[in-house]
Amino acid sequence: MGHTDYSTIVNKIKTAKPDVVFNTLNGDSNVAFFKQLKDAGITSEDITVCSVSVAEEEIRGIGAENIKGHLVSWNYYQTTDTPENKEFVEKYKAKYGSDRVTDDPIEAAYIAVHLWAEAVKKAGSFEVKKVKEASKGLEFKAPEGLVRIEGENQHLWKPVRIGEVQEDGLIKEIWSTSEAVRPDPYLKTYDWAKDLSDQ
Amino acid sequence: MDTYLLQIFNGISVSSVLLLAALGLAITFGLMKIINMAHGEMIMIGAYTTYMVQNLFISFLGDRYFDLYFIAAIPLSFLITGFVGYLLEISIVKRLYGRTLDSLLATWGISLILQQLARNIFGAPNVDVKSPAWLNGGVVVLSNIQLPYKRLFIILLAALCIAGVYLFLFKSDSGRRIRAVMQNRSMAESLGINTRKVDSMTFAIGSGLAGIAGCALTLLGSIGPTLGTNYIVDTFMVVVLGGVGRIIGTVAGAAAIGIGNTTFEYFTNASLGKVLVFLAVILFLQWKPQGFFSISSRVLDE
Repeated sequence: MGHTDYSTIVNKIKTAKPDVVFNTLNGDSNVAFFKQLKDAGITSEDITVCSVSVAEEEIRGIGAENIKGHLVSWNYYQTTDTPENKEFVEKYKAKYGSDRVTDDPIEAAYIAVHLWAEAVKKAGSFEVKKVKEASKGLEFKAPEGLVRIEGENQHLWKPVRIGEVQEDGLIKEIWSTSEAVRPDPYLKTYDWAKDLSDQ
Repeated sequence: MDTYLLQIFNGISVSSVLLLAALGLAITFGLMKIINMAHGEMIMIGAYTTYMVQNLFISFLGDRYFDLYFIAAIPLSFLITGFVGYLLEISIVKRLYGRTLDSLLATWGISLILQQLARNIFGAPNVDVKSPAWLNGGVVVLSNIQLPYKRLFIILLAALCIAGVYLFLFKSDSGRRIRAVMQNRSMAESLGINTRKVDSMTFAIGSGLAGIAGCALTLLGSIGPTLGTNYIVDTFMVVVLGGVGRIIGTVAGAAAIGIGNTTFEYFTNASLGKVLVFLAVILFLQWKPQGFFSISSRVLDE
């Protein structure tokens, strides 16, 4: 975070000529990276960048013209096609202004509050232990689709989506899992991670 | 080979960015001895001024003149940021001369206030400043080397600013008065120079230069409330390494750190490159605490 000059990294990318760049930059570093990548004459047609921390809100800071055509990976986009999301986006814009956009972190916060409320209702108490117990297996029809709390580790089952940044700064989904994916925070189900998850 | 050539250009380009960002600090910290932690926020104000100018051009002049907004934004950033600097000087900074450590804390407080102010006015997320069309693209030198116009423009702007500051300080009457006050305040006072006026003007000019830097940085990076914090460490390092109080030192410091950064970064990676540069600077300052250039002075306490 806070790194401001990507000329050297862009130069390295140019030399390596990769098919795709996997970008884990966070925060406003992304702005500098994409602006300078474009200045160096690299567009999404030459090398596609797949980012894991660029959502609709960040695209407004980067400038859609600098990042269009690149890929991002999230669980939710403003364009996600569910009845719940239509309502969510409408309400969000009514409250915060029509020029604002929703994105995955915003939606995740929204889900979290709702799930907590459900768990409290089920437990009939504010006590952390009881709420935790009640939250196991809880489901919620979120804007991104049905999500569920995994009893074993309290992570969420979520659908996974890959999208392409459009000219208007929104993201078009180009691939998604058919349903929510079981959370695997300790990488237990991956062959390549076998040595990492010795537990 | 192309890669190395481009790397040399990148080094010069990073140096010019650092120079532009540090030039204002070379005046407020270098000449006035105020540890000006709010310098980064002056850069931020310049960047937001550019954002406002862009929006005004879109609302009132339409697409036809849009590309000209940047030309208007440069002097406006200088004036507005300079004015903010002037207000700061006459309200707060004037009480801090000769109290170096107090100036550090007070200006740090100012910087936090300004950041929050920007957050309240413009919101926490970054805003987008579209570069004018005439700065998109670049000069293709060899098949593999493209020098972005934006970076060439910043190099040119940095050179112009240095030339401007040099001419102002060494060839104009006001500049001569500034140097007189900074070198020997009581003597300047006895000779009838209004040191209060000179102080506010100097601080305003240093801040205004930071505003120009902010305007130029919108071409390369993000525009957000914390924009200044990204540059504050680098700019202090440039001024200290170059030698406090010498404009030529700031140029040398920026060149050394800029080229050092890109070179180390090329052979290692971004984080390690930065560590190595810091290390090199620290070692150098152990050897020569005055930096590259020092002022020969007859004053004993320096």
